[in-house]
Amino acid sequence: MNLEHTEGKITFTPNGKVDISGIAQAVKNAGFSVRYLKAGFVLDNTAGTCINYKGDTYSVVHPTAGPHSGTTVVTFLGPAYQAKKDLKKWGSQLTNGCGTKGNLYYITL
Amino acid sequence: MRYLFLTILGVLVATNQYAQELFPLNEPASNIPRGVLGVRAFTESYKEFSQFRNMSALRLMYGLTPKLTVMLTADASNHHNELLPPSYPSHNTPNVGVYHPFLFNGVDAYAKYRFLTIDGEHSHYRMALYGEYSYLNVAHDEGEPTLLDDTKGAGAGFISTYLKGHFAASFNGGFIYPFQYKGSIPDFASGLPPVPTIVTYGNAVTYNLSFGYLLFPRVYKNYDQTNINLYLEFLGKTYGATQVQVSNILNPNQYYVESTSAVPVLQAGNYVEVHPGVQGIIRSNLRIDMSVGFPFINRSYVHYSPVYTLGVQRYFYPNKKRLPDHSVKHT
Repeated sequence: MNLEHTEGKITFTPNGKVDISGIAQAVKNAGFSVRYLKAGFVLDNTAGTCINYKGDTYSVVHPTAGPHSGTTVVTFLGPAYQAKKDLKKWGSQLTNGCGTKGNLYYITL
Repeated sequence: MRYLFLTILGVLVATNQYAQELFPLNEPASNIPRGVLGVRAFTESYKEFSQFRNMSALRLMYGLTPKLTVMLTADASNHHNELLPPSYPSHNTPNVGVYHPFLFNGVDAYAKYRFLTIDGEHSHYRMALYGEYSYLNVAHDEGEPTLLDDTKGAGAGFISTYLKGHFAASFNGGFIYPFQYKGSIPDFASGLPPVPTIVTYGNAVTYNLSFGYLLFPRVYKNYDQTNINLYLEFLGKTYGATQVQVSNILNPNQYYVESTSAVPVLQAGNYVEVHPGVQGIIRSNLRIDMSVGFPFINRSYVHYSPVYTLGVQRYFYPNKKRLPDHSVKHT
């Protein structure tokens, strides 16, 4: 935890499933707010706006030209993962066109 | 797609940076984390002529939800006797410098709900509503109502707290609705039973302003750093007059109102006290604070000054799970 900049880093075992919404909820349960939530993925020739992983759906907002491979940092979008002023830029663009398998997350690449 | 081993999480405000709003005498608008149990022992002392008065209390606090905190406080003190003073209210009111036994007073239940949260980096503004109920049955012979230690009753109010960098300020505003006390006055004729008496305390409005400053550390590095905070709190109260009804010796079911016009402590009153304090927080959990109080505008009649307070508080995490070392690593 970087207390000077109020940033926390959590490391998980490779290829495991992570409950992103649970992480954000744990921050709220402690009485704080999430300013941003980013995660590092190792992508393997990934393209398109819909990604399914470990039973969850990741809807890519404003996808950059792909396919993507290697280490990529994604940013999670939505009221649970952003400060209000940052959410204003994205709110109207969080529309799901990927179905609803498992948890639905909006991300940018 | 695979997850990398890394997740970067940005948190708006870190725990330690709330320290300067953990005021010794007033609650901030922030809550205890969900599922966390807090235990606080605190004591208040002052000299009253030849007597040393003390009130000691134990408080349990629990975070029911991220926005709702509940508390239960039990206290004991030597502020009151088992009966009202002899010749109350016209004489011996208040009954100063007299020995009182240390008695269990009762319990106080408190709930706080945070309804507004505006968080920024190294700053926040929060508001909460609170409600309070106390059950105690003590022979409180002054007119000023206080839910913990003196009068049973109910209360409610709001809390507004602002924090920016190392500085915090908070305002608590509320009201107290004290319930009647039914007790007895010793009969001046020895051998006769005490005289039933009903004391109806005036309602009160409270207004408290607290300031806190995080003196140390200047820059946070880790949770093991000791926090030193300085505080300045103003406690204010305006309360109504007290009515005393004494049983008719010829007809015990009939009460007559005693005149209290010549008894200052039973008249309506108001005051503001100032309480500077200092606090240390060790390893982000053990909290020790001390403050001393003096009259600022008028005075309170329920105690003499200076009033010394000491508090010790610790959190416990009953729901914390122990994870295998290979599963998750926090840094």
